[in-house]
Amino acid sequence: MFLTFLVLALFSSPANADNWAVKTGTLTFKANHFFKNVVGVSKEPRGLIRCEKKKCDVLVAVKLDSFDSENSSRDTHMRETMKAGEHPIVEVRAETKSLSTGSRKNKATVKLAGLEHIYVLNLQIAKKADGYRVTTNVPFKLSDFMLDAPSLLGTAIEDLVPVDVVLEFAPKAD
Amino acid sequence: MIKSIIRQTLSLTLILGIMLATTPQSFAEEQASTPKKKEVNDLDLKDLGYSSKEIKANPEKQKELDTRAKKLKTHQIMGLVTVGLMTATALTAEHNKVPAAHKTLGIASGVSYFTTAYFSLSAPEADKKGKDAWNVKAHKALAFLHFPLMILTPIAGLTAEKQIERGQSLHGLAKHKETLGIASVLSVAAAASLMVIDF
Repeated sequence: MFLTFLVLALFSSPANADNWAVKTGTLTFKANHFFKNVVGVSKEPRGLIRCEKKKCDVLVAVKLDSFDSENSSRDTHMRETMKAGEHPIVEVRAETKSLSTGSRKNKATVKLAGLEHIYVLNLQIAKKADGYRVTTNVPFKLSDFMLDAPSLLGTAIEDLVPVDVVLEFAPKAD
Repeated sequence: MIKSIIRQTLSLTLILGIMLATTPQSFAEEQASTPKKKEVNDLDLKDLGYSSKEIKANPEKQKELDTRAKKLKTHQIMGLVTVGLMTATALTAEHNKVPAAHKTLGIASGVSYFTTAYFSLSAPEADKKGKDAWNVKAHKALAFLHFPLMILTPIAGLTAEKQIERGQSLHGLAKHKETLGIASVLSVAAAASLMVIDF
């Protein structure tokens, strides 16, 4: 009996991780200028949450050319401003202890235009029938990534360009 | 009792001995033959399904974007300068006279206008993934109006100058110089306004 237990303990495999992938989601930025407010939306975010041993690692990414403000000329200029040619994808990485529902603050590292900046995000996590819904707002600033603000008639857009994030995660098969 | 303990100890020792004899080698073989399991912290963009091509930097593309932005910025500034010069040209016009200021400003307006057009026409195209906004379409469409006007207006002006010098009354194209001039200013100003109202 003791030997059986010992053999099982020595040769048992580690517990499998829980994996969650983005099923659908939107990222919406709002740029404010004296003459006009601009809204751009991406419906193509991708993400993964990998939970193991009371720790969850998160990676969410989106291609800069997936943002649409209903003006292709302006969107092309946005890509130039964000240096999308050299860094086509913006990444958000975070660690969290669990996927417990409710509100909480969590640090996240945003990587854009070759630079990284840490934000403290207010996360809202809700349980859905087949996964989780995560919403937050990223207080993104152009100056955090040393980006030149576009301007018109000598007036630049506001440095703060908040991004609303809504992501639906579903279980990911290994 | 003692025999039982000795028997269990010997069995355990045998099992441990077998493990120590076989595990290191088999572990090394496993490491050599199979890929290392990813750590939880090493989430990668490829885990999200992005291809190497999608992740890879494209400096040529960035250079094209930078060129486009610079040229259109210059086009924007020159466009506003052109509207200013054309307005000043219109304000300095006089009936049956060709004031020096009007002529000078007219020439400057022409140079400024065609410089503005150059920076727009030579800028790389926008990515055609999305569609042009209504104001961009209208801005581009107005070029079919003000471009021919900006060719006809200077011709009308030069013709009018010669007729005035000869003491003739204005006729032909010169007769419509004022109308052509005002239409030119208004169409260029309208094109510029469209890009300010909804940029």
